[in-house]
Amino acid sequence: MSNAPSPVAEGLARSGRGRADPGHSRARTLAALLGAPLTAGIVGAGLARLLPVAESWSAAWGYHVLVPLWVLLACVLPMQRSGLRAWSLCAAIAVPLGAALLVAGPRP
Amino acid sequence: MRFSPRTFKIQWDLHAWSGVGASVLLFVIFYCGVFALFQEAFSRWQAPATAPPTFISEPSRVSYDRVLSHVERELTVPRGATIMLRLPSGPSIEPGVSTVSVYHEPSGLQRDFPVDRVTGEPATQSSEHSRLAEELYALHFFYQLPWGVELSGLVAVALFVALVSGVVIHWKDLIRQAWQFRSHLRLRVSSSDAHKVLGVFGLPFATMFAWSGAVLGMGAILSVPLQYIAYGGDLQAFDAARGYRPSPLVESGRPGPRLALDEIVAKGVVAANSHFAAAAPLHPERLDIELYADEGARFALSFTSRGFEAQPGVVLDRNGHVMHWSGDTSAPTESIDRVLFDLHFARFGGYLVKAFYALLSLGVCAVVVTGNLVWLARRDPGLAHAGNRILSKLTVGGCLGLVLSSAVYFVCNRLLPASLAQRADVEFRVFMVAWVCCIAVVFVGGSARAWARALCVAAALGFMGVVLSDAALRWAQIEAAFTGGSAPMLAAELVLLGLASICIGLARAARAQQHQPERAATSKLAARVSS
Repeated sequence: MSNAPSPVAEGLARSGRGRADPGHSRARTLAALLGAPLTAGIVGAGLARLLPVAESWSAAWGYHVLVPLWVLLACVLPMQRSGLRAWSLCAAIAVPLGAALLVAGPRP
Repeated sequence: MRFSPRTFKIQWDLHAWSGVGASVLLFVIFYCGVFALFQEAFSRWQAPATAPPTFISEPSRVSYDRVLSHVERELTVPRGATIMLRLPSGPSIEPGVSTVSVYHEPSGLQRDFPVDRVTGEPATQSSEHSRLAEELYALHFFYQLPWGVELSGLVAVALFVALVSGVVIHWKDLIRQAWQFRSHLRLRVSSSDAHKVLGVFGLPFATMFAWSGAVLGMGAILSVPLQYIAYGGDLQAFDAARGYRPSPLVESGRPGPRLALDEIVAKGVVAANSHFAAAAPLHPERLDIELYADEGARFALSFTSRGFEAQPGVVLDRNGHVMHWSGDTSAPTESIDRVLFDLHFARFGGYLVKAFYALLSLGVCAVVVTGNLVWLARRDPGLAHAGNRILSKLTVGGCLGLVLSSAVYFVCNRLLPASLAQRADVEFRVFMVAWVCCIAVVFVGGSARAWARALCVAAALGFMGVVLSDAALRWAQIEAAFTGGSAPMLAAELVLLGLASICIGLARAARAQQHQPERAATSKLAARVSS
């Protein structure tokens, strides 16, 4: 068995831009830095307000899902093909939830 | 499972940027985490040799009224303020300083008053012998900086991202990475191996710390969207849903007489020992006065608890009547928080678990430093880019400089005269100046590798000197404390001895690496043969 560092890693490290070129763009990086926490915040609020379970459980889901979701989005958004797609993914999650929250209003 | 080259490259970059971006701050957090774990031990360690016996074996008789009167003399506490009195009691108390905090949101008031936890008398800054344990603990979450706690939470999120992306890029050979360490090869390979071995072994620990640290540091910010969107800005309703304030506070705006605090606490203790009979005898740990001097004032008394168990508590009104209990039922958020925080603070298993945590913390420090070495070796081995030169020097000056400056802090604690004015402040300033000097000298010139070795040697000498001087001058005190049932002094000395040993090991490793150019050709050949 080979003991050398992974050939894929070595190859990619040396190759620079090429077939594996991720084409980092500012918009996509911004989506990972800003879009991820904002979207996670809206999802957290949505779960806390709209989840059809006891209030204590919806608050727990809303609060404790925030950090893992933020991290997950920060890892997934850079995988999108462009900044527009990354922000669209954020919008696809946040806009319907935001609209539902607006309609439902805060907890009575 | 193998990921596409594009996925691999993106996750590789994400792992590298999030790790390197937060690296020095992560090092500070995890290195100071070792002292945070043993804060109680170092609180005792930092006291002068003439301090009272290791612990007070009679039940504590600190008067809450007396402590409050000290605060009221120093400050006109506004009606409706919250006062937190952290005054542990019980059959034995480690001497040290506790804090009384006063908050009043409408006026923006926020003040801390240090008090002697045995006598309840004010511990003024000028009379303080040392704040070493408290300052290193506070540095664990950058408490000395404005928004420092939130910054530490953000750094924890960056660590979480680095962990997830690290798992993705090594997913296909995660098990192999846990065992492959080729120390005989050149720095690039050996540091990469060390990074992966320690990273894989420390993964569950680091993940737990990243998550709990993010929640602890950014709790207030994370609550904002929930509080303002889901609860329309009603903090009390949000807190109640999370199980932190079972009933809302009702401020009357009128002054209301109350029983003496000691009387209220005594009633609370009697009631709690009857209510939580299985956990009796309960000892008060903290008293929160809410709506101070108001007719609707409440007195929340919390008792000591063991790890992963709900903290027993009782809330009393101004006449000492029980309003409600806490700790017999838990809301889901409170239960999850308790598990996360008890794991974070190692509130279980005693010194053995703390020692294990300390080793893992130092392992994360090593992962951080080796991660930076891998970045430099792979992306810019000749340090052509200014940013990489800064990273190289900051890694040595910022990280190893902190190790040396902490050793200097410990040396100062033993060398500075007890009669020195503002002694605790002087100690802390020397620590900070030493750290800044370490960063400065590395930036001024010389090889980063040579500086790394020099800083490790100096730190090892500092830690070892302190341990040897304590062994020579304070052994009787340490032995008496240990045989008397109090281990903190010995634990503190063992931590310092461990740090000295690690610094010696690092200095030897740095020396071995300095001879690497001679072995470079052999290593290159060995790497080729092994592949």
